[in-house]
Amino acid sequence: MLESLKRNGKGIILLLISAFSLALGQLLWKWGMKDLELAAEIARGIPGIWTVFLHVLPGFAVYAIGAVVMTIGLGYGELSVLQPINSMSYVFALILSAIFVRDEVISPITIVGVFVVVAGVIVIGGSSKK
Amino acid sequence: MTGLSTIDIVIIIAILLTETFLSSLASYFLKKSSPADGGNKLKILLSPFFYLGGVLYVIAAASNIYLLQKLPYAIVLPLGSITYIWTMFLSNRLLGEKITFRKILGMCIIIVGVVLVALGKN
Repeated sequence: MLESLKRNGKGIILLLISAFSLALGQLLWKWGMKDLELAAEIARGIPGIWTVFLHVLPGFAVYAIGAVVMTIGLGYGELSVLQPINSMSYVFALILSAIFVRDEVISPITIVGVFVVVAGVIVIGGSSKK
Repeated sequence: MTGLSTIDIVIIIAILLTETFLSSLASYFLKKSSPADGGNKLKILLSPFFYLGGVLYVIAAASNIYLLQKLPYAIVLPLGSITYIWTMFLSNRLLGEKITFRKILGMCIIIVGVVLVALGKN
């Protein structure tokens, strides 16, 4: 297991960063969209230009950076080991929304699910034998 | 799920399988565009495979948004994990990566975890 973590290590770290960017991009998008809807309601269809610059465009940028980081990461190991690490984006999304959004109650089942996903990533991350 | 005819369900399953396959294929192309250890990373931006992978991801994401209009999030999210099964298959066929017991175990654990995350969000 340690050997696999060493060989795929850089890839694992880069994929974790890209999963985080994915979650962050999603959060920015969600905010942006919510603001846009709000702006559309208040101003009757005039979307807040600041929302576009503060949330929607940065959301795209974070996504694009995440894609590049993921691509670099995939060069450092097996696809079948590294790609499933994308599932950590659910975990990061939950953590980010717990910190920044705080408008939804996170159920205990979801928290258990998060730990199970992390366990699966650890099992798969340490699984390479080549 | 009420109001879905058999044809709707067949179409949804077809979209789901295609979308997850494209998403998996996208990651294969991204991997293809990525130089192994030590290679010049700027080459990624010059590789057509990088953009092909990107376009496939966008198509997959758009299909996913379409599915979300038909089915609840708590069903679409875990079904997205089919992508990992495709990836295991593709990386075995196209890249010669071994399918090991541990990889299958890890994948199953991840899928269970995603199902739980989605259940909790219901």
